Amino acid sequence: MWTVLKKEVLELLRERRTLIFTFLMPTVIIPVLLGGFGAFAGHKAGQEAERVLHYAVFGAEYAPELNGQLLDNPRLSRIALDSIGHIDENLRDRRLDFVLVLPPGFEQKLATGQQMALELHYNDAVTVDTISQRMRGITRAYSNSLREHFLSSHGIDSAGQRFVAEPVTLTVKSVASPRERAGELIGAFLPYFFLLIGLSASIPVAMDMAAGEKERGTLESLLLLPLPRSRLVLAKFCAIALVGSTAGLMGVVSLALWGLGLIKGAGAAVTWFDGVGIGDVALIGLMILPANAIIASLLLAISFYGRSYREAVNYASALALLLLVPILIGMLPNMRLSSGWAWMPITNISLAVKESVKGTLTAADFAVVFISTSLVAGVLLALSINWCKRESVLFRS
Amino acid sequence: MIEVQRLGKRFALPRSARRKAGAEPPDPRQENGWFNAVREVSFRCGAGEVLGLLGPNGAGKTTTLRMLSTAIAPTAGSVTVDGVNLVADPLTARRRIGFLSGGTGLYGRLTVRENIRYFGDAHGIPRAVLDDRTSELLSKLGMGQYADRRVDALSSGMKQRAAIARAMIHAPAVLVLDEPTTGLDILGAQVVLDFMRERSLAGCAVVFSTHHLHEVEALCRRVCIVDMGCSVFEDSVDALRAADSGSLSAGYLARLKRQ
Repeated sequence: MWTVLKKEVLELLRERRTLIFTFLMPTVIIPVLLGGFGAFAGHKAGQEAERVLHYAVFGAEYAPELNGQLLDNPRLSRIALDSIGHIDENLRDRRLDFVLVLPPGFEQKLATGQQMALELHYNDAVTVDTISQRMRGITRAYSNSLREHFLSSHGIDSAGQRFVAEPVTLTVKSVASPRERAGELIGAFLPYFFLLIGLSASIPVAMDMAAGEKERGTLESLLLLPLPRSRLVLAKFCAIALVGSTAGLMGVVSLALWGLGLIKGAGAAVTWFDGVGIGDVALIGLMILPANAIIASLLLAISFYGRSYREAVNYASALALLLLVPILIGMLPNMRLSSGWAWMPITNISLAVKESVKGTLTAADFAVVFISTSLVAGVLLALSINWCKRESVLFRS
Repeated sequence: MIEVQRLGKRFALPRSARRKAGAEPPDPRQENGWFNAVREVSFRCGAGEVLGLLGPNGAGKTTTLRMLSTAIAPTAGSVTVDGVNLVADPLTARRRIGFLSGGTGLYGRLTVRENIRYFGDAHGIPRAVLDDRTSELLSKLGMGQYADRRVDALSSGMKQRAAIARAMIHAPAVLVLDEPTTGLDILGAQVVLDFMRERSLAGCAVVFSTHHLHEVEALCRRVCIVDMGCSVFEDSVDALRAADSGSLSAGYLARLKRQ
């Protein structure tokens, strides 16, 4: 078996595609892409928040104070619009970002204590609705000043004004640490990357190991070696699991190192990451191993079944989509690692990685997840070996 | 020595073929959802002998040779390789059989030497013996200067020589070849034929399938004709030639027509 495994590894090391997927992808390409995407998204969000919005106002003469505030705002630029009937057309053509319509007697009626409504016309089919956010900020400040003025004129002091504005306030005292809160958000995405990195490295290798060998005619010469077929399949399984696990572990280590670099670079902004220690990284790495064993067993069974490399890759793509389901279940909001989910393969890893990042994974939870996933991996490997030994699979035509 | 007795192999017919079965002329090899690719093949090839396996396409030659190579297991009959029952003990039988087909069965990303070493290691040959045998085979096949080149970079003739070295590294007593010259140019084919002759002279039992009667004439003393999954003739080349007008091809065709 070791002879076959050694040969598989030697071949893999000579395949540029494998080296890229196993080493370069998790350590450089994905972190750079993610970092680049994060920086780009941050830049775009900042740009959007600072962007000068072009707007028009109808009825500005009814609100001299609000009109003055709008004109003084450096991030707003007014454009004259001749008719109220042209609002939709100008918004759709993006000549304007928004239009405000004020009713007649707007500030006069406000002064008498009558509630008034402003109309905000804009296109809200956007991912991040900065226009309404910014306008809500402006109207809130304007409303607050009107309320203060109104209440003062009725002899209510500042304490009374606070009472009128908000009689009851809620002070939140969370027991969650910053790490736990951030872990809930970020930890949910990490398993997706670690498992996907392993999967994308394993697929080409696994498909080449049986379907590719069938196509090249080397599988038959391999089957004629004086070795039990179970050992041949086991050697190939080990090679695939090795590639997937190496890529996954590379992803974990690389993310930890990049995270460390981020802490040094960004300082207090990511202090939550300080709590994630080597022990947590090691636990995450350990959990990735049986998950990759499951993936390797399934991929090997598919690869032996495929008549050709292309056919096997088609099946593997379908499997990759199916595997996303248990990973995504772990990403659902408020999903917790319970005794039931701890036995659900892949989902349990997804949830356990999240708990580990949050710092809430107990030793018992880890043991259940690791053992249950290893058991499933073992059963799948046994089934896969049995499957791959069958003549109807080996020589499927 | 290899002895094949009443060898049979059947495969389950796919559903599509089962549905078609009623619509097409009956094939005697089909029965109750099974296809008997090999029904009853028997022959014997002694040490130092070259036996040619002849027959039309689809006769069952490749299936027979695949069973001899242990790639697939027979569903009936027996094969004895150098005294070892191939069905009962395929792992031991594999140590005594060398198999070669039109495809080289070599790993393109490995060098010639690495390929040979890999197969040698898998056969459990001690490293010192393996190194000596590798050098000897490479030199005998005129491949010394190509030993450390990747197989991918070799010409088809060189690949075929490397495949021969791969098949012979464990010094098998029986050599099984499935249309070994198919797809090779004249030089590549000659390398294979010379190698078969050299092996038989060294005491190896050589069984090979072919469609080229000149190869049979050049190498074989005995032939076996397989048709519709059964061996229909097993005798000397001279007996086949004498059966009809003295020509080998006429004798061969006459045997097939008689079935």
